[in-house]
Amino acid sequence: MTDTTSAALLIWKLSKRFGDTRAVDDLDLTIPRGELRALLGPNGAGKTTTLRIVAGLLKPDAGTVKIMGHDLAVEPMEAKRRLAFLPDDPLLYGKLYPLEYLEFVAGLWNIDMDQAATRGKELLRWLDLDSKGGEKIEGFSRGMRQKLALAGALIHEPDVMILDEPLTGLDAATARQVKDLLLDRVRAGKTVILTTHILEVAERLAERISIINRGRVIADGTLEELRASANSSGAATLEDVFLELTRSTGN
Amino acid sequence: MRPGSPSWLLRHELKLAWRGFSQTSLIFVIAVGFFWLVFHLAAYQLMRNLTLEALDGPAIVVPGFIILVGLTLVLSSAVILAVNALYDRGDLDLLISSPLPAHTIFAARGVGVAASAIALPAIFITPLAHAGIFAGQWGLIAAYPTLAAIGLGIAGIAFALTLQLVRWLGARRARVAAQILGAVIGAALFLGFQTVNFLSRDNGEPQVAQVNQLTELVNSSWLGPDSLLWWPLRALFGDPLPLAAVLVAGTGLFIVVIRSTSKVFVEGTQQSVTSRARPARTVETAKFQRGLARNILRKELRLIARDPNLIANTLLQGLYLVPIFFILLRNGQVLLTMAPALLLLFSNLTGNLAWITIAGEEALDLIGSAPVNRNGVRWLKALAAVLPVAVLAVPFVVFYLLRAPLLAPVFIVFVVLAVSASAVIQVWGGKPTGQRDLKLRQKQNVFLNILEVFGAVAIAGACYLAMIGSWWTLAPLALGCVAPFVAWLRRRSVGM
Repeated sequence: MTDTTSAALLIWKLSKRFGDTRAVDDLDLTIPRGELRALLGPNGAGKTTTLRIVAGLLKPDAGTVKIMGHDLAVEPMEAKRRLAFLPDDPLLYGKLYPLEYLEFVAGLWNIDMDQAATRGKELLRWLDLDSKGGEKIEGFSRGMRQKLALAGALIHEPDVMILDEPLTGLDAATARQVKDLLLDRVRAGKTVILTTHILEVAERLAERISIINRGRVIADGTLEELRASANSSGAATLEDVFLELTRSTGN
Repeated sequence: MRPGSPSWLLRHELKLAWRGFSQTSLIFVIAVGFFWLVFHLAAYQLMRNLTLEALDGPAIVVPGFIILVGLTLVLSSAVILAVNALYDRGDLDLLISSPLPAHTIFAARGVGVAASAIALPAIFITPLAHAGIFAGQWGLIAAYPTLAAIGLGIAGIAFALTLQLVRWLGARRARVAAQILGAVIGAALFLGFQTVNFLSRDNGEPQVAQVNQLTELVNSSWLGPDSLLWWPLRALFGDPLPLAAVLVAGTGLFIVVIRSTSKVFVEGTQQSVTSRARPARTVETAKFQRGLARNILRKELRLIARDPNLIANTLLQGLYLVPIFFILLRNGQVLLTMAPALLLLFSNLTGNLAWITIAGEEALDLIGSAPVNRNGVRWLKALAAVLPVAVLAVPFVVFYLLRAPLLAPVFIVFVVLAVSASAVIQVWGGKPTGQRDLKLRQKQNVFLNILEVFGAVAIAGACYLAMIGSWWTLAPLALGCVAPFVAWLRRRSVGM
């Protein structure tokens, strides 16, 4: 195991099977605090399963997950309190108004409600949703829902944010807004972990990239380090490196 | 069948309609088929005496009214089907952008709605027609074209109503309005009959006078045997003039409405499902409330209150109890028999609401990733489901306190037991589906539904026995309490 004292997320020997399929296979991953890490991998590589285990939505067959030093199996509440998980297609309550949704999320994380109310309004304003405050969520577009879910993930000021394909289906302006927001979080010392199929996004946003294939981390590092792993030239794009690495590990 | 032809499109529509029906459950489809066959036997007994000639008098009123009530219910379901066909299914953009003529598309869609809407009455009417034909009433062959024409006419009315409702309310609200309207119409008609029946009992008039009044009413022009109201019934029996009128009116109406509907859509004046007819209200203030329990309860109660579809499907069940209440009141047994009936209603309501709050949780990932005790959240959700039912029970508790103070405590205890049993069964047995759709409940876990009904019936029976002071009350009471226990055992065995 690597040095874990400063790790925002530590995953060690994580395994999960679905029937005969080994979705996650002895996966090790350490992500330090204050970093934006992109997890890449082909479809079915085990990214989403890994993230869902980290979020406490799936029980692993084996292995350890620590969030900000709290073991998810031993101190699930403490671990979850520091985490926000945004699934790829977040399901919100169609019949609630945006602030009511944020109030509910704040209640789940049991944070100070006066602060939450102020922060909820700020988040809505910041994400250009304040004008939609009087509309039920069921009338929101995909982008608006994604932004509201993001606001919900931010309302309790998590130390670690996990986002599964956060930019899917967003228009350019909204995608830019979300990217800026994530970078702001990292500048504020928080940790952001995201999965994406848009390699350009990973290349531009992430300090380090982890590539998962067949349930294992097959490569991990900066783009330069990944190029070296793949024996690629300095001009190779992340796409070239990704394809080379996943091909060489049998995808 | 040539692709793109009206018959090809119609086949597509009917295929979608059939899949919508058959996906409910194969057992259900087989049961309906079995009922349809068996109903022929009962129909034969009835149709030996029910001839067109026999209906040439006051006797036409009852079957005539039954047909009219049936038609209003068919209309309400046709409106829901029309909203789905025109706005919800989401394939009209594809179809209209194809080189098919718009009126062909809408005609096929209209026939699909007509077939789906008329299917249920056809299950009852066709055995009657077959039995009548077997008994020598050849005119009943007309039942088939009459049903088709009525279906088309009602589909036409439904399309026209839908376009108008959508214009007023927006597509989403139009569907809910149609559902509520349908339930209210059905209950109101039944209630109306029973109310008249009930009120006429104690008004001091001699029975002869009442019979005279009824006869006068039946002989009046609008309710008499020649009234236009009974033409759908006469058409079913093959009476030439009403038959011709129904065929012409039904198909004519369908053609006119379909032409105008296709015009509305092609000109692009239709609304989408997400559009709103009214500007949204603004929520300026927000004062967040502290505490997990309060938050869960507030959220669940808000979602229940803002789901008119759920209210239409569950709380309006109460409306149908009102006629029963009148019947019991008439027979002077209301105090003893109302309580078990209410317990069944409350159990069912609690089960539905608890299913919605527990199994219908939409944001499973949010709850799952939150630092909360999931089991505690389930119990809070069950409590949220119980609260509306408790409010509903209050007037009845007051009724018992005023009319029979000795029975009131028994009633209260059994209400608590019945409601708790249903809620607990869902807490221990309900599996998350991520969808707030009560239709899923019927399909999702048949065992749990049976368990809930079993528990409710046992507790209702125990309540009746307790009210009449029988010691036997303990037997069904024990059975009623076993139901949640079985859910708990099953939960342990499947490791939920």
